[in-house]
Amino acid sequence: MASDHARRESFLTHLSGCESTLRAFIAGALAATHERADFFQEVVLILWRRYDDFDAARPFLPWAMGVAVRRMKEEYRRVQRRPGLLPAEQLERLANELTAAEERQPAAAEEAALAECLAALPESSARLVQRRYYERAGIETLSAETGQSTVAIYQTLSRLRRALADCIRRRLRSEDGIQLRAGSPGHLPAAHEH
Amino acid sequence: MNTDPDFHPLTAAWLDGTATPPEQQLLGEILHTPIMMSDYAALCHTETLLRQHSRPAAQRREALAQLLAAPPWPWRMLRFCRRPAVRWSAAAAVAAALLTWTLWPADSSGPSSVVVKPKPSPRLMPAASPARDLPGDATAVLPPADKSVEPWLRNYYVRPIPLSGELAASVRALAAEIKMSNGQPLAVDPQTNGDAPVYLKTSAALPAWTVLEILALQSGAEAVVSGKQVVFRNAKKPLPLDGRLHEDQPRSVLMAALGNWSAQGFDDEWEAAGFLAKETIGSPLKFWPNGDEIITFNGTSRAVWALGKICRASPRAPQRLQWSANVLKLPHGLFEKALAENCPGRMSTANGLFLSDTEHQMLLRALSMQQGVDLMTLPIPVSDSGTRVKWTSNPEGLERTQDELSAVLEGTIDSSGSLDVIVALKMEKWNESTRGWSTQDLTCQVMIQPGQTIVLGGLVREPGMESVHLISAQIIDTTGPPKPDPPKESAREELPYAIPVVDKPGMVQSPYAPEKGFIDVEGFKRGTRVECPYSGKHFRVP
Repeated sequence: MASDHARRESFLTHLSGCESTLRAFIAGALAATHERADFFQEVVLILWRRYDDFDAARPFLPWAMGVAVRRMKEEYRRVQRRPGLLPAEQLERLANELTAAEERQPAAAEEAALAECLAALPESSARLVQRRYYERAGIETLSAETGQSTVAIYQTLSRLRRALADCIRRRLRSEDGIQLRAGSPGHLPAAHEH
Repeated sequence: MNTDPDFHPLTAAWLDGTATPPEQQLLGEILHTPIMMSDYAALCHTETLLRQHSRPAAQRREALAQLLAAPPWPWRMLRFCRRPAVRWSAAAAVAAALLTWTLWPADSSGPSSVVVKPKPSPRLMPAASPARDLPGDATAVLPPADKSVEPWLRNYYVRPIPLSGELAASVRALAAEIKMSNGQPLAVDPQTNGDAPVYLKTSAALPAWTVLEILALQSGAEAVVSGKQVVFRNAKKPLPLDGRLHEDQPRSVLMAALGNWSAQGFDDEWEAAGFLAKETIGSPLKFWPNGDEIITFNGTSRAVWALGKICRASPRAPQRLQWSANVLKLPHGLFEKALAENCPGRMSTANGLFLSDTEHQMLLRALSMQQGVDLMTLPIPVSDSGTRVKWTSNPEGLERTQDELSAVLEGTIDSSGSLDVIVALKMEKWNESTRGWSTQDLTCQVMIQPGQTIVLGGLVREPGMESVHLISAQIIDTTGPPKPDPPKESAREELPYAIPVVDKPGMVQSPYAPEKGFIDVEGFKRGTRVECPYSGKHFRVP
């Protein structure tokens, strides 16, 4: 039916706009990487089932985030202080922080800023990001390819993530008219740094 | 700016999925300042953006559409099977099948005649223990520290002997003290001595697994269960030897963990606490008050984490709940009238209706004197914080009464002492016209203060009558041992408690004949079994 199709399209439009924020919340809340996709799927299905309850006059993300937080708290309660789950009191803070960040800067702006930051990466770092995130190479594989230990690979990826997060933040502030220090965002680490 | 040295390693381990349980817990604890949470959120978002960056928006949207279309069935099946309702249904089906197999006459053939037993008079059944009631969730009665441990190691608790020096020698000495179900000592395989000596000397009775975890943590090792033995090996990411941490704990919990220092209130109280900490975990810590009841301590990551673990384990103060549940069956409108008369100003709100302890008792007293009111006091056992307890009017399930009521209660004590309570009521009623059972369910989740009463109405029993449930919970065992001996608990005969009389200490009303008058129980200890002078039946002193 046309109305069903329109409802579905509307939902997908809303969801696409905040997918990365919802996924970020789940990544921050759940320690086990293999559970995150399952949980995201479950939250999406709940949102879809309850989409009629959503007030279209209001922003979608806070509603969706509220549902995700409640579901996460249910999980916390169900498994009795479930290991691998951020404490219940922190879940709401994380959700609020991500929602506020999204309200300040939409995900599209952050993606654009990320693209610029990635372009500024040294070649070795860009290659590592490419292999890890785009080609889904495992840590063991990267270790074998680069001759570095898995611990060193984890550390390098961690440093890259921090540098990129800082870079995105600076770029977005810059777009907001905040004056940058000279040289930023050029201090992105190369993959061989220790 | 976020300067905590542990923040970035812990966040990276979490996002990469390599964080160990202690690291996961530590991360949850250090995210206490807005700037840390802001940094954490930014890193989570960056990780997500990186993972999504390689796929164009249209492709991502298509993937979301596919999620809506058909989730993979194994995932759904797994989720479905994990549901408590499914577990309960499966257990009920198995029980019913066994019952049928046991009771069905061997020579029965053709249509069997249905024997309708006369409706029994309402009676209270002994309440079952939580462990017996929740076969699918036996871990609910275990201390949190042991929930991650395999069952064969869960139930063995030790009063640790002083342990110091090399990890391998200490755990071997400890293992000799932990007896398995077959009487044999715990099998351990210490493959490492770690990077630092261990030290543990506490009079607190800790779960065996907690002691092993503390020793592993102090030495930069990790303890894992492999087969039927505990293996100690070098941790992939040990807590740094020189890292600094601080942690808050309630004074009572900390005192229990450190052996109740006697210098409370003196100028040198915090020096004494530091000395006791060094005696307990072999490393000095600095203590200072953070409000009236909270104490902050600071020291190396491993020392703070070790003491925190002791605090979070068995010396934990009062985490048990005493439930009280009264079911009133009464004519429509009578409860509202009594409420208006005895608790003026109390109205049902969107969040429900809550009564103070005094209001609860006044209301019960007033209603018990009214004609046509049937009051049942349900003997619900105590429960641990965060665990479920179930009561049913027909625990054996052999002879179904015409009305059956069951309740699942769960209360969690939060850090401020409030109670997050979940109540799930289920009433099954025999419907003569359909010759079948009709079911009414009522579930609510509310936050109350200890002693407050939740009023739940809405379950209709018969035309013109309604059923109102008054449920309250009190925190108990504030100074006693953390858990009573389970066999004693279950062996004790379950009897209803008498109804206390408001403003008359030492006076109660009989749960069997509340309309007969007051009974003097002054001088009897709480829980004492006494005989009702009116009915001759036994009840306990509240």
